[in-house]
Amino acid sequence: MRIKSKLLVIYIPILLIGMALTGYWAYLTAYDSVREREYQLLTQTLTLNVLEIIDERRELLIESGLENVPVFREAYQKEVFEELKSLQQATDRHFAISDRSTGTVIFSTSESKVVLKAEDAKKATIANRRVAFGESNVNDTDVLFACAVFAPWNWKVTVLQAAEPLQSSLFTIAWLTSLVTLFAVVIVSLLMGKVTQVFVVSPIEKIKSAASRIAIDHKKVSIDLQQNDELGSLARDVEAMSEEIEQYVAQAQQANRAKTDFLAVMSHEIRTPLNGIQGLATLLLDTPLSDKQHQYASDLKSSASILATVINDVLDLSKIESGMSEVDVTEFDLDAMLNDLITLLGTNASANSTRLIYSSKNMESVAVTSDITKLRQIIINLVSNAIKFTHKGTVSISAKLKQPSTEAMSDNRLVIAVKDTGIGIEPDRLEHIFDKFTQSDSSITRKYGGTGLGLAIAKQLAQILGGDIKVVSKVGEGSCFTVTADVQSRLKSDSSIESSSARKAQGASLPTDLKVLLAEDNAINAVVAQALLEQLHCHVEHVDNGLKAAARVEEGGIDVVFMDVHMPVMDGIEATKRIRKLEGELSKTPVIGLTAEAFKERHISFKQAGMDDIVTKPVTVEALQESLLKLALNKEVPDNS
Amino acid sequence: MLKVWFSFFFAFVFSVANLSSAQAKEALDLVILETLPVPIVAESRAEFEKELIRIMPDHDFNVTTYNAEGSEVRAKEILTELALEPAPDLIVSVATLATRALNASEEFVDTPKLFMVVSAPVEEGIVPAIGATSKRNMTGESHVLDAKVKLDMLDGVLRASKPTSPFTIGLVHSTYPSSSNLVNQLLALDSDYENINLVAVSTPYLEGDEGRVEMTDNIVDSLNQKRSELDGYWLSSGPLAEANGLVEKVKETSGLLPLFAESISSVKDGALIGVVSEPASIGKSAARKAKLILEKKSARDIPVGKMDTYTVAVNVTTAIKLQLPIPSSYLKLSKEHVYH
Repeated sequence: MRIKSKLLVIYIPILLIGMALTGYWAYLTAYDSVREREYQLLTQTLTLNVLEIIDERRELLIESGLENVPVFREAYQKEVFEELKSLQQATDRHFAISDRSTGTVIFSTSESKVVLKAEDAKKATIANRRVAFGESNVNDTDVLFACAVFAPWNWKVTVLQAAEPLQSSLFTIAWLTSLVTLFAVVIVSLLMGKVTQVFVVSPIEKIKSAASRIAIDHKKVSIDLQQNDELGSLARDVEAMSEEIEQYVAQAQQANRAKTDFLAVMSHEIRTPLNGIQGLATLLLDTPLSDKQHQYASDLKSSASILATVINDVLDLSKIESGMSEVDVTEFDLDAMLNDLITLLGTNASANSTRLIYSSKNMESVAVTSDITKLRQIIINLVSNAIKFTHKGTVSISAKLKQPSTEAMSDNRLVIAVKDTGIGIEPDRLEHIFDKFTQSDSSITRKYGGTGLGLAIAKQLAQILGGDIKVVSKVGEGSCFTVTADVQSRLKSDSSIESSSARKAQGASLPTDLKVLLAEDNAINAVVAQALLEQLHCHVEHVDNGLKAAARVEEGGIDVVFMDVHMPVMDGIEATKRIRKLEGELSKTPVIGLTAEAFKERHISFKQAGMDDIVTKPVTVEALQESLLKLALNKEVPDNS
Repeated sequence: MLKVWFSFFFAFVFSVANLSSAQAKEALDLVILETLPVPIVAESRAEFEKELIRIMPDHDFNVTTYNAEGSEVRAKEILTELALEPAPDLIVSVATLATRALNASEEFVDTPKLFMVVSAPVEEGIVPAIGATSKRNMTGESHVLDAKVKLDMLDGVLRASKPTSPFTIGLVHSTYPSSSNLVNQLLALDSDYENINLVAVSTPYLEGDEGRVEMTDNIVDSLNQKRSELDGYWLSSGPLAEANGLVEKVKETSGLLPLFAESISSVKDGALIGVVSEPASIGKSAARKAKLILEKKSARDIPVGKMDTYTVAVNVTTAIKLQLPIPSSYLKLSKEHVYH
């Protein structure tokens, strides 16, 4: 509930109670006032009208000396009766005159007999006459009465008035009071709502909006609030706070950049020797060894490979968490990509006696636009994980789009499910399965290996792509990881996307006897790279800095250059720039960068300096071969690091 | 120095001359022609003169009064004689016969004329209706109440006693114009009042004091003859109403009492109730009109109207005798004219 609604919910009942009490008090006051006024009118009618009518005639008789003339006295008394009849018709009040001594009724405008219960009557002196007044019941009708004595004629004069009009007017007052109270409540509520809106809610909303901007932008904000009250003070505090936050964020970003730089350096420094270990182990395995030596070399290679995986995972996670992982959207054939992965990971599955199955729903004819690299990494992580925990079982991958695709590009939702018949996950561990460095059981790490970062990376990558990963699992029966991601899709034309099979068909024609110049300052890495290139039937020349490499290319006869980035005398970037400045066809000599730096941003800058492709260390024969194939296809190559 | 003295002398002479001219009053000639000097005529005329002097203090009035001795012929003679003299600033006629003669006079068409103590100016042919103006340069006021109002008042008194049969009332009058006019009006309205039955009791109008005595005797005789039919009588306006001892004589001979009278004196003498314009009111009202005329407003432009001030008088002794209680409203109106 919004604060304005809350305030109104509180205010309105308080107002209602307050107004109701005020209204009730006003009603009581009006009630007394109306009754008092009615009695006043009644007694005034008696004293100023009736008794005056009588007294006036008596005075006239006295002045004319006729007071004791019966015919005049009786005539004037009759005149009084006639006037009272007229007065009764004019005022709707009844008048009665009785003999004061005997109580005999002399005159009455009421047809029924008037018997008053005047014991509780109040007494007052009005216009020098003593008057009694009050309420009584006459013939089952409530009446107000006032009576007085006219001593000269020994008369008791009574004025009666039905109480019903009074009660009716009191009822009207009650209604009016209620209506006015309700009207006042509505008006006051609206006014209070407006005042609250202007002086409280609006400033709070401005401060809230500013706080939201701070939460999103981490920038200094300016709040348009000129009040000199608590909210104004709060706004100034928020402004000051936002300034500090901006400073802290700037500092944090600076620290993050420092961390990234550190990671880049560390990545390079770790990968460089690791490259040597892996390469040498590979080379060693190709030499005549005893079984025991072969086993040692094989273990050495495996260990290096595991170490490389761990390093890659840690670096990937660092990249994601530092916000450096950007979405690189391209259109691709998802079905082909998944088929390639099946092929790639099929070996591992077979090693675990597990079947790897892929199925899709109308995906063959669909081109998907998304970040293929991230999507591929998610699927690899999930499938690798499934294979790892499934022994003699099945890992099935299914993919579908939620909306049917049309020939026009449209937003869609990709759903890929990786289901296994493995060991499953305990329910209480499911909620932590995507936490970093967490596996369903610590014993798993010992038994199955791994860093525990794969699922965390996959989930975060899915979230970067606008989706998520959900998991359902049952111990002993297996697990199902469902990946979702926001993509765009359309029905593909035959020529729009190059299928992987076509690429494979072309990749088969890797040129032989290529003259390769290897520029590498690290002797071990140079040995490894040279050996691997020679396995690809390349003639390799080695130089140990960029200056020599540029000079050698200028001499001519080099088909392709593998250029290490970090080298003494002249680094690979500068050397590549020199090559691009050579005359003629020499400037178009393909240059493939070799680097231990794993961050994509760096790779982009290398390409901007003139390199055609980048191979990340530790180099493998497959990576070298793929890069050469890309060059052979003579097309723009995406980063494959 | 001599020049200074001359200057003071001329200034003094000039100032005295101015003062003298400021104090000089304009003299106005007024002719009053009265029908006969009965009390209402004489008192009204006297009050007129007194009021005119009071409200026009800057004028001197040369008032010449003529008495027509109750004769229209005499009034005409006086007017013929007056025509030989310079025309006055205003001619005032008092009572009906003098007014009739003045209105008919061709010699004074251009002289402004004012009448008073005339009960029926319409019937006299002065104006076609009350509220209209006269083409003969004459204006004035009727001093009597409408006949209907008088009948209403008498009916109110009689009704209070709740009579079982109507009161038969003799309408005492002479053939004097105002008297006979009023009686005719009353008789015309008689049928509207169930408590009143009017019977005309008439005598010819006779001029002079002897005429009034003779008229009185005629009426006393007539009433005496009709005493068994009558419950009382109505003393109409005109010279007969001003006759001395009429009420007393009737009471002595027939025992009848007047129920309505057109003069205060008649009520004093025993009339139950009377509604009249007092001479003071008549004279003052006429003086105010005269002032307008003398201040150069044409009498042709001043409509002939009716008096707006009347006096009610009651005689409670008569009321007691007749067992007719006078309603309190009339008693209240009578104020200082309650007679015993």
